[in-house]
Amino acid sequence: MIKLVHVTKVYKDSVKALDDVSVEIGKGEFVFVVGPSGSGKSTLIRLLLKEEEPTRGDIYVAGKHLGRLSPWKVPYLRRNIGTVFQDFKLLPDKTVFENVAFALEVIGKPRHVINQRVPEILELVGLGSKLHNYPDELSGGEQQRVSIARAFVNRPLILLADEPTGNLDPATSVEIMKLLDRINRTGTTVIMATHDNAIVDAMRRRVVELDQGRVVRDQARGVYGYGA
Amino acid sequence: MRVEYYFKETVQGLRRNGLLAFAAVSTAFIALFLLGMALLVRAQVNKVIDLWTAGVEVSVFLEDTISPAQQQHLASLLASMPEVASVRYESKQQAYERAKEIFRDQPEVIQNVEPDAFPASFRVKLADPEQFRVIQARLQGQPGIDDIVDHRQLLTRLFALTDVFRVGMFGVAVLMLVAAAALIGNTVRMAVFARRREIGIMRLVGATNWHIRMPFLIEGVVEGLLGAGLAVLGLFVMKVSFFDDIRKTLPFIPALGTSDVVATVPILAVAGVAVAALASLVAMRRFLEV
Repeated sequence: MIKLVHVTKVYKDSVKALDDVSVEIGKGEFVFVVGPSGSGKSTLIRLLLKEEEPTRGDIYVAGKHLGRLSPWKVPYLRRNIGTVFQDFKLLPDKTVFENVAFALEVIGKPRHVINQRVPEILELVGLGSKLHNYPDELSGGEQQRVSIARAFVNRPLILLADEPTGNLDPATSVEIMKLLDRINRTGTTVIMATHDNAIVDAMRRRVVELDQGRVVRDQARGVYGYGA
Repeated sequence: MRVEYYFKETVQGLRRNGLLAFAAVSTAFIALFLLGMALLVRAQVNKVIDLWTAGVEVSVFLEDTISPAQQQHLASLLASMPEVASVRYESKQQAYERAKEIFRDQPEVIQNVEPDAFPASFRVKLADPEQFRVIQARLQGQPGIDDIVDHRQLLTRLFALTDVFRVGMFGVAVLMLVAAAALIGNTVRMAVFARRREIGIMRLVGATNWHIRMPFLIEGVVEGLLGAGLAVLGLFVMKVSFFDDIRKTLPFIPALGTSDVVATVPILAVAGVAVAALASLVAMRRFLEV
């Protein structure tokens, strides 16, 4: 599903964000990418979305070689990838329903599909009763559910989550993880960047650890740190 | 659904940028109005030229008393001159018909004129327009000629002035169009900036570049079109209050009709849309890379 082959990313100020990273992630896997701030987690996610180009190396996502993907095809690549961020990225002047519907509207889905799928997915994330609330009327956990619903409403092959629990308390984080786990069980590949060790330890999934841009560990059923 | 979406976005965008949009539309209006005026002045000048020359450089007006033999002689003489590219005989009736055509919007001008009042003539097109004097010298003393008129010389002097006017107006119009483009580009940029959150999300969920750009492009183009619409309106006002006055005070100059103003509509619309679209796309390019 995702393959990085000797990928190096050097930014303009010669900061090495990723240094010769090779990782292969299969369909339906759940992978944690861990490491301290600045270890290259976010760069990895940006590269997978083709928001940036690697300095060296090849990246394959959903069977596509990103380096050879022409710019006008990038939006179609992204329709296969759902993304969830720490700051939710919801539109404050749109309701929960409208926020999720927006993701379908802008890729040209017809109204009847939107009216059917959006309530369905919001029911799935447990917000069936809050369709017409605005984001600022929701708790942080609920807002993150909306953002997950938006990422998943188009049934992407891959879900990228960049610190999705970064702004949430531990109890809420557990709920979000349960949701991501359910999404993963539908066959969606989930890649989650985090430095929340409690969650990583509890889930016992594959862990790829980055440090200063290098893969220092790739463990099948890992925990956050060696010492844990 | 898409059309509705674009429409909603455009109206919202225009309202959000009210004052800037107003400035952009006003500038586009002035630019296109001046462009339209330049076009109308040119149309007016062309009408006058047509009246006087009908596309020929020299007219050899004939006396009413000319005999068929003299006329025949003149025709063959003109046809044999190397400086003459073509020569055409225009009878009194043909001259009358041509005048009727030119004054079709003001039939009262020639209503009371008999075809007989128009002189018959040879209309001569020169191989080299500078050769007028040669022709004139050769025809000197031939019987049956009333007058030989070099239209070109006459018109050159007369229209040097209107040309300055027209080119000046056209120059100002182009300058104003550049200003309008800058302002339209700015409103588009503001609209993009105001919606950068939405744009970020749109990119994330895989909206195509064109889908993201379309509302902004439409917003810019609508501004250009509004400017063009106002300009056309202005030209009609101008026609009624200014050109129609010329018609009253100078009845022998062929006046611009409604059809001449209508003829500027597609030109102004295309100019407005093209400039606005270009300005919008340039303004977006920096902000909306994938």
